[in-house]
Amino acid sequence: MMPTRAILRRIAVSAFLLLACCTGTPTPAPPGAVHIASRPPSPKDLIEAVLASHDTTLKVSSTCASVGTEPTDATIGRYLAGFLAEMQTPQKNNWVETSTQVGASARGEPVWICNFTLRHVDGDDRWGWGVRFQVRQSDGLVLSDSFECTGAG
Amino acid sequence: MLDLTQDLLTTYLGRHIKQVCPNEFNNDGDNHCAHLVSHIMRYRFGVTCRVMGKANAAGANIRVQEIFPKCPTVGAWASRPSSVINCLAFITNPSNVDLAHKVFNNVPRKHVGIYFGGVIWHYSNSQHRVIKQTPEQFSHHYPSPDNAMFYGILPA
Repeated sequence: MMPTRAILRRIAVSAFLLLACCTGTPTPAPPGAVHIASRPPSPKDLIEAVLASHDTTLKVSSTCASVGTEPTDATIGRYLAGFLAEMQTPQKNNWVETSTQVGASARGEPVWICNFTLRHVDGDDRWGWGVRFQVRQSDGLVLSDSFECTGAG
Repeated sequence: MLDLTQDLLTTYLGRHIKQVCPNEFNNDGDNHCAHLVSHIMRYRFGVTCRVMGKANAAGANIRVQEIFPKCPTVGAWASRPSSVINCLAFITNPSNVDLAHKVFNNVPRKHVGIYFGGVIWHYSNSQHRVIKQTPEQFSHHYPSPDNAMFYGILPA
């Protein structure tokens, strides 16, 4: 038999989750959450958010499966580091591309959809690999489970 | 099952990826080699142009490292059995490929085309169009040591 206090706690938690889910109240940010520095995010804010999210696992999205330059790469940071390491030749064309557009999260919250791409062009050696993620407009929270890995080739 | 023919491949010659992909995934800064192969061969698995572009139509895979393990058999180009007259042709640094485990690392310099009729049909990212080359010409796609060639039996 469940004690009364436990039942009350369950009711309170359920009510909180219900409120957060159905009244538009943003879900509280988990410990270690990343927030952007200003809203809407500038290119600098967006890049800072990517750097701060380096520990995000590549298991976050099926689009991130096998994107690392080495099979052992397991995080967003390690994946991007692999391509950054390919940008060391000064006489080649290397650049960082960022963009932001308005959208909605899976929960229906207004978000900024942010794109960060590392680009390289040297004849047929041509690529653009990066990430796409969402930032909640209400409080600037980077939605850690929204990360996708972008790129082709 | 796709009926791969010379006539079909010829319809793609000279086309920009914009004229191939209905999902508007066509940035000239991207490597469209796997993307083209997948549109021609109708490879719908894995990460597709529909996911990365606009969802206007059925998607085609866009990544070499996802196509390679789908090949029933893979091997070094030089060891390709004479009976294999149609297949996929890959090129990269040999250290990026683990044939035993059918793993192709996601490295920058990697490329794929369709070997058919004695030539390799592929997307030239520098010319922004579909071209065909002999295997010897294709072997210069990247400078050494990134020019080891591999074959893969066409995935179903």
